[in-house]
Amino acid sequence: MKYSLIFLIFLASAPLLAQATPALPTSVANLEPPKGCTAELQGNRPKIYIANFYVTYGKKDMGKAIGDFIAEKFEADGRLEVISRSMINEEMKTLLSNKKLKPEKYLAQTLAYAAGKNADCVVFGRISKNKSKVSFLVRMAAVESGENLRKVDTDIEVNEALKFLETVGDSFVTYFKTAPPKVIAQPVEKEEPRAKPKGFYAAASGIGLMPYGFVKNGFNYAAGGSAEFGHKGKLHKDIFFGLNLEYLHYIPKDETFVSLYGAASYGLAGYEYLTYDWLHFQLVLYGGYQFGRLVGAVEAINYGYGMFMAGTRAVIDFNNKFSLTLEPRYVLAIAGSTMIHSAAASVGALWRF
Amino acid sequence: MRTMRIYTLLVGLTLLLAACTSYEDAFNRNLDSTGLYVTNSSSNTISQFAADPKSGILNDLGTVAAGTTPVYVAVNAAGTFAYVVNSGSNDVYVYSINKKTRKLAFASSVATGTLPRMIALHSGGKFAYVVNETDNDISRYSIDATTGALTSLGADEPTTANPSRALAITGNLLYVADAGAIAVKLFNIDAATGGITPHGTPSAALDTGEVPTSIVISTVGSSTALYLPCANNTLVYFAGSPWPPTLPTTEFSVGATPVAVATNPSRTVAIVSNSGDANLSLFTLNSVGAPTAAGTISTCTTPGQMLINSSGFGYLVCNGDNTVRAYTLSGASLSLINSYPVGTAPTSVAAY
Repeated sequence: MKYSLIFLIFLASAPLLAQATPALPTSVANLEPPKGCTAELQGNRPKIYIANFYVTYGKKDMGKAIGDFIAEKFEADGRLEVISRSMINEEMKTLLSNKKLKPEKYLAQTLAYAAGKNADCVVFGRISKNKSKVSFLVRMAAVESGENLRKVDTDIEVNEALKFLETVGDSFVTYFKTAPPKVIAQPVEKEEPRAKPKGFYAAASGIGLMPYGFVKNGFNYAAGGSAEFGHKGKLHKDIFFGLNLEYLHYIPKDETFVSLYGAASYGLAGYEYLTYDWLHFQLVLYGGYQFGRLVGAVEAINYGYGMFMAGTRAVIDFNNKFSLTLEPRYVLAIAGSTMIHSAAASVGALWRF
Repeated sequence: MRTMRIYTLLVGLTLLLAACTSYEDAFNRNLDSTGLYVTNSSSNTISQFAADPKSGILNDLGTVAAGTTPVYVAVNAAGTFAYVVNSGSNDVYVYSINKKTRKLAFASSVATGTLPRMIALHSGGKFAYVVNETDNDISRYSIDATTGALTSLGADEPTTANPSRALAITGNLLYVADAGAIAVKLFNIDAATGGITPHGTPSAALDTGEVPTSIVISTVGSSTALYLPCANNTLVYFAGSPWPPTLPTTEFSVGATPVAVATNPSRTVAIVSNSGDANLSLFTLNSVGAPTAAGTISTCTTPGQMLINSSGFGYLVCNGDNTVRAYTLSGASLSLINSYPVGTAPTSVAAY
């Protein structure tokens, strides 16, 4: 009651001054997190730091009086552990005695004090003059997250000030009867580098091939497709092995040839030599055997010969499971003393499982 | 066990290399082979083949229909058209040659005289001449360079030969074998109009008994040589210049019933088909084409016309067993490569 009287006297004699209250700085969120400003006690009562209010209208010690008033409400409720008001008063005295104190400084330092006391909740506010009324700005916030849990911004008549403060104190106490279990802000997720994909994969590609050597005399291009199954990361995170099945159909230049097609089976080994977040570059070596049939205007023959390929594969991740693959390749077939060279390129999709 | 693995590996590699080689060979045969065509006089068809210039082997490309009783086939120098003489239907069929597939496609036909036997193409590629046995004359045609079609140049020119079965052209000279008069007739060709007129000395008589069954001319450089298989089982040779040749002509013994003679493009070898003996008489030729006997080799029954290409392979029509035989020519010796079936009663072969 004595605080109420002091408060009213203070209001009547204080100079008029209005100031804005800034938002909570985000740096507060990075302070050592307490257990949380929560209604769920779980045996540990959340600690509340009730700061002296920042007063720009009236006597300076009104800030302490209002803090004490609200603290009484919380102590009476008993849900929270109210940090010693005398300790807080001592701590904030120097701060509030600064005549050039800015609201931002008050806010930041108050939260730092609260964090320093391992508080879960903090109550603070400002009293200022707005024309003929008293302007109250009161906040209750979670120290760990900086989130405002209760906010009161209002202008009231001077003779209603005491009643208002009682209402505010009750309102803040009541909050913990209805507050959600946790009011701790989610920790900020740090962007961790994406791990290199490992495990089994299957891939399918479309292939275009341009032969050189004697084959070029009859066929300019070939088109086909391949399917691949493999595993990455067994021996080393950058090494993979697999099996590849491929079919190619060559396009005749003219009537000299009717058709040429080949089906091949390869074993492959690869090494991922460059990795960005969603982009991988891999060297791939293939060795296998191709069976096929050549049908010419003059003669047809079934054939089979060894195949060797080397390519560099770009794997572009859509997500952890699906990727686009692009791969230029050099193809070599050893035909007796004759080497058949080809250049090829494939575009496909890769699925990890 | 280790030895077994090594052997298995070696066998695998050998098979691999063999497969690759045959694949490349087959591939190249599709690219490089040339067309070869055989008239089947009883089947009324033309057998089509692709001849490999490296191995000499033939790939059968099937047959194409001809007129009635096709007896002779000729291919122009560019290898773009084939001309088939049908002695039964008294006409000539013109075929375009697809040089990618080596197959013939019928393009047009033109009427001839009665019982046409042979066709010869002028070296300029603008005119063609057909000898008609019953009419004893020569039908003259212009050649459309684009379509290969033959267009008659007017009335047939009498040969004065009886019967007229064979003719041959070199430059602007046209020779006809005259079996009745036992002579060779000579005509001049007008290179501008295609007309033919008897030479100033129109005939050169052969010796008694030298009844010509065919006539072949081989020109190398400025040297022209004529070869005539004759009914008295001889091969008659004489130089094209001077005309008339000095008689008696040089005569070489061959087998029974010689019906055809072939020379290679470089004119170092001549081969006579002896249809009565089922063998071939071989001759080496000197720089002017004069023969020297080089022996005989057995062949199919009733051998007919033969051609020797620039790759050194010979192809012989075997009328008796309905085949065409492929030979490798080395020096003056022949080695059989293979025998390929054709239609019934094959008579003539041509290639490009």
